[in-house]
Parts: sequence; structure tokens; C-alpha cells
Amino acid sequence: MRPVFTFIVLYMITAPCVLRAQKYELTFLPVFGDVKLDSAEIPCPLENDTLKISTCKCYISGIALLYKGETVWIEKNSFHLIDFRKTSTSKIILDLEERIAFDQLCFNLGIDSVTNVSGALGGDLDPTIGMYWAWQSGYINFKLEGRSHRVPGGNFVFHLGGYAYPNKSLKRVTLPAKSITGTQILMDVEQFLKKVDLKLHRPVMSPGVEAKRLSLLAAEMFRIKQE
Amino acid sequence: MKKGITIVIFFALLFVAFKNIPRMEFYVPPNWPKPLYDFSKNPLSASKIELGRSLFHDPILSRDATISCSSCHLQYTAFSHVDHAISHGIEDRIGLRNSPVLVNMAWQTSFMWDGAVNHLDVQALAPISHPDEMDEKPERVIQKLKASAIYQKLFFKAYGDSLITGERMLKSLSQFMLTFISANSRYDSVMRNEARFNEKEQNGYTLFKKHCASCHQEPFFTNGQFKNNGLAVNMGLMDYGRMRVTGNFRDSLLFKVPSLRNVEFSYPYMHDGRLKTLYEVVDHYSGAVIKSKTLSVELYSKINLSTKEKVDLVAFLLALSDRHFLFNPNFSYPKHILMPTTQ
Repeated sequence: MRPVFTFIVLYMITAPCVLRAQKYELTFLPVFGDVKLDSAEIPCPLENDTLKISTCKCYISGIALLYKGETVWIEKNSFHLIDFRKTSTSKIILDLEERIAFDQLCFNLGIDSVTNVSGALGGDLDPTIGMYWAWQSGYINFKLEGRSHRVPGGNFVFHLGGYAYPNKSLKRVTLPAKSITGTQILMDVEQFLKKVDLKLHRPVMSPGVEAKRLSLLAAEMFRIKQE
Repeated sequence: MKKGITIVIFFALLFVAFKNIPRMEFYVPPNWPKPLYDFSKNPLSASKIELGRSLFHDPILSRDATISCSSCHLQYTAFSHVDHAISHGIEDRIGLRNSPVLVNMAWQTSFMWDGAVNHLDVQALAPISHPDEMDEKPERVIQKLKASAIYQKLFFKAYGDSLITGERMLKSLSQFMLTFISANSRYDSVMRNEARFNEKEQNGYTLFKKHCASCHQEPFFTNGQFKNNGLAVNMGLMDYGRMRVTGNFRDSLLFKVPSLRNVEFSYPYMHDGRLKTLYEVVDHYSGAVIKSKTLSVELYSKINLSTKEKVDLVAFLLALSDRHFLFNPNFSYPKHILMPTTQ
């Protein structure tokens, strides 16, 4: 009996966090450091600035679950628009249909190339809801707008996207899966803004080299909220 | 109980009636290739085409309700803007380019002079939101349509419920534009062995095949590609064409090869409308081409044409006029919908 008990204890200590669940809830929480993002002014420790975020939206797509590096589940029609002003958009329920084991989750920040050339789509992908470039076709993967004293003129605008080579801006994010019922994912805008020099800010509103570079930084905003 | 069953049957029949909106087959002219548009994602129906026709002609799409799609794409001029080098939009604001013809849209995969739009369904978003064209937010267009009794009915008829979305609006516009098929010109009659070219047209056709057809390929009279056709850069507009989209210097001064169908009516010509007549166009290709690094290889050698040959070439181009297309009543302003009291 003792060896079995010892084995179980050792397994629980050493094994990676393996989850078995049928439904899994992802909650995306836009934050600025420790502060929940809302329309209020946010004191910014960087150079005694204050920030006001007016728009923070992004597409989360291609959600998948992994176990030991292998994909074990992929969400069908996986396209979700997260808007910090609409809390209802922050929760994504994954219906796994059967209990499966996984230890990581991954998703895209943005919309893939095939979807970008598929014409007018519905739901979160409706091109008239403000996340689509009209004059040059394509979805805006991440939209961040606001005000900062550091920006010449006061306002900053980041519309990041681009699906075509060589400026593809779609980024894959992989995070550990922590809880058995769901995971809260922080989308920390501070992580993004502290890596861009707002003093030299020029609005980014079309696909290109700069949008591609900034998309890489945007993908680094995501982290798991520690319980 | 009986009443309940009656209500259930009534709604079931209503559901069946509207969900089974009769689909239409897309007409492909004889000997033409399969269309490139994916109709499985947007099956044609008469009611959706009618909805698209109303949207196309209705200035409700613009911010101040003054400009419709048909303001710059007039049917009688092959859906281009007659006699305007560059179209004017809302409040007479001037844009950047000549309004392109809208024809045989189901066989195209990129749109606008620089190919910035990648699908017919999303094409309308560009003029709607451009500040020099309709200057309206697509979200507001949807709000306006939702508030319109006319469009509530049209969407219900087309989709079987009252939901008005951007997807539905755009796909209905596509459906209407997909019906713009021009395949009944004199040229087409000759190809179908129903008529014969006269001597001038025949000679012009021979010259066309020798000098023009590599880019203006039959039966669409375009190859859908982007080419530098040797025009000097317009210093007023500083428009470098496709390079604006790709950021690649190799795309400098490349513009989409336009279809020549109904070219008699789509003047002025070129992306900025700088050439007023077909003779000016022919003169350009036979002696005024400017060489540059991105010039189309087809234009490396000078095209020598005599005066007679130029006349014959233009005679052939006039044979591409399709009056069935230009005066098709199905494309015209839908008075019966938008102005029913004038009927």
C-alpha cells in the first residue's frame, strides 16, 4: 500500500499540470499592470504620465489545447472579438465534448490569411463592426487607442494587422493551462506600451513593417493570472 | 389545443417559405470559363439581387445621403463615371483615380486600380468609408438600414428574417454586381458565328491580337494583372499604384489592366483619366510609352501603327460595345422600390 501511496504523491508533485475537463472557460482581462482597464485615467509610473485608453479590441482565433506539446483539441470556427468596453466579450467557453487531458492552451492574436480573403463574413467577423480596413482589405488584429502626455499631439493609435507576405502580423500565443475549470488571461497593455516609445509615436493604421514589428510586442501582452 | 396547432403550422409554413428562398443559377456565357466567385458562400436569389440593386442606387450609403454607388458607376457608361477624369464624391471632394468600369465581376479576384481590395464582397466598404467618396462609417450605414422601413422589408424578403447585418448588406451588393455580365457585343456575335466583322474591324482585331491581347485577354479583355503601361507619374496626384498596397518598389506605377468591354463609353481613360479619346490611347501605345524599370515587358518594343491601322484598331474596340448590357432594365434605378409613389 505504501509504495502506491508514495507513487501517487510523487506523481502529483512532479507531473505537469494535467487537466481533464469537458467545458473550459477562458476569460480575457484587459489590464494595465495591476489595474483593470476601464475608461478612467490610469496613473502611469513611466515618466509621471497618465494614460487614458479609449479603445482596446483584439481578435482571438484558432484556440487549441495541447498536451505534452501535441495538439489534442481545436476549436471549430474559432473567431472571437474581445472588446474591453463589452465585458460579455471577455469570456470564451470551450466545449470539449469529452474529458480530455491538456496542459497548455494556445491561440492566435489576429485573423488568419484564408479568412482575410474570404469576403464578407458574419458575427464577430462582420467587416462593418470597425475591425476591418476598408481601403485595403483585411482585418485589424489589434486596436489600441488612447491618450498620453508623452505623445506629441496627445493621442496614440495602433491599428495592427496585415495578412499578406511579407508583413503577416498574425501571432501565435502559447500559455500554460492552470485551473481545472478555466483560465483567466491577462492582456496587459502596459507590457505593450512600455516597449514602444510614445514620444516618437506616429499612428499605425495600415499593414506594413511597423505593424508587423508591433504585433510581435502585442503578442507578449498575454499572461496567465496567478490565483 | 386546435388553436395552438394552427399557430405552429402557420409559423412552420412561414419558416419553410422564407428559408427556401428560390436560388438562381448564375449565367455563364457560352465558351467562357467558370466564374471565380464562390457562389456556394453567397447563393444567388432574385430577392437578394433586388436588395443589392436598391443599395447600389441608394445614396443612403453616404454620410449626407447625396452619393450612391451609381453616382460614379453609371450604367450607361459601363458603370464608370462619364466624362470625369477623377470622380467627385461627397461635397464635391475629388478623389485620386478614375472610376473603373464594373463588368464581369464574377471573374475577378482583385479590385480597384491597385488591387487593394481582395474580394468583391468587401469592395463596397472602400467607397463607403473613403472621406472623398461617401465618407460614412459602415456601422452607421447598418443603423440607417435598420431604421428604414423599405430595407426592413427588402432584407426580410431576401433572407427570411429581419436581421440586417454588414455581411448581408455586402453580399447583396455583390449579388447585384455579379449580374453585370457583358457578353452581347458585336464581337461576341462574331465569336458565336452570328455576325461578321467588316474589313476595318477584322483588320483591327488582327492588330489587337498582335499588340494588345497579351494584357487585354479575351473574352474579358483583361488578364486581371497589374502592369506599368508607360504613363508618366502624375505629379499632381503622386500616385504610384500598386506600390501603395505592397510597399514594394517593383510594383511602382503598376495599375490593374482594365477590361476593354464597352470602352467606347467609359472615357476618359487610364487610372487618372488623363486620355480623353480612344485615339489618344492608341497614340500613347504607339509612340508615347515612357520607359522605366517597372515597364511591362510587352511594351519594351515600340508598337508601330500607321494612321489607317489606328483607325482600324479603334473600329475593333467599338465592336466591344454591348448595348444589351448598357441598357439592361434590370440594372437601372429601382424606382418601384425607392420611389414607389412616382410609378
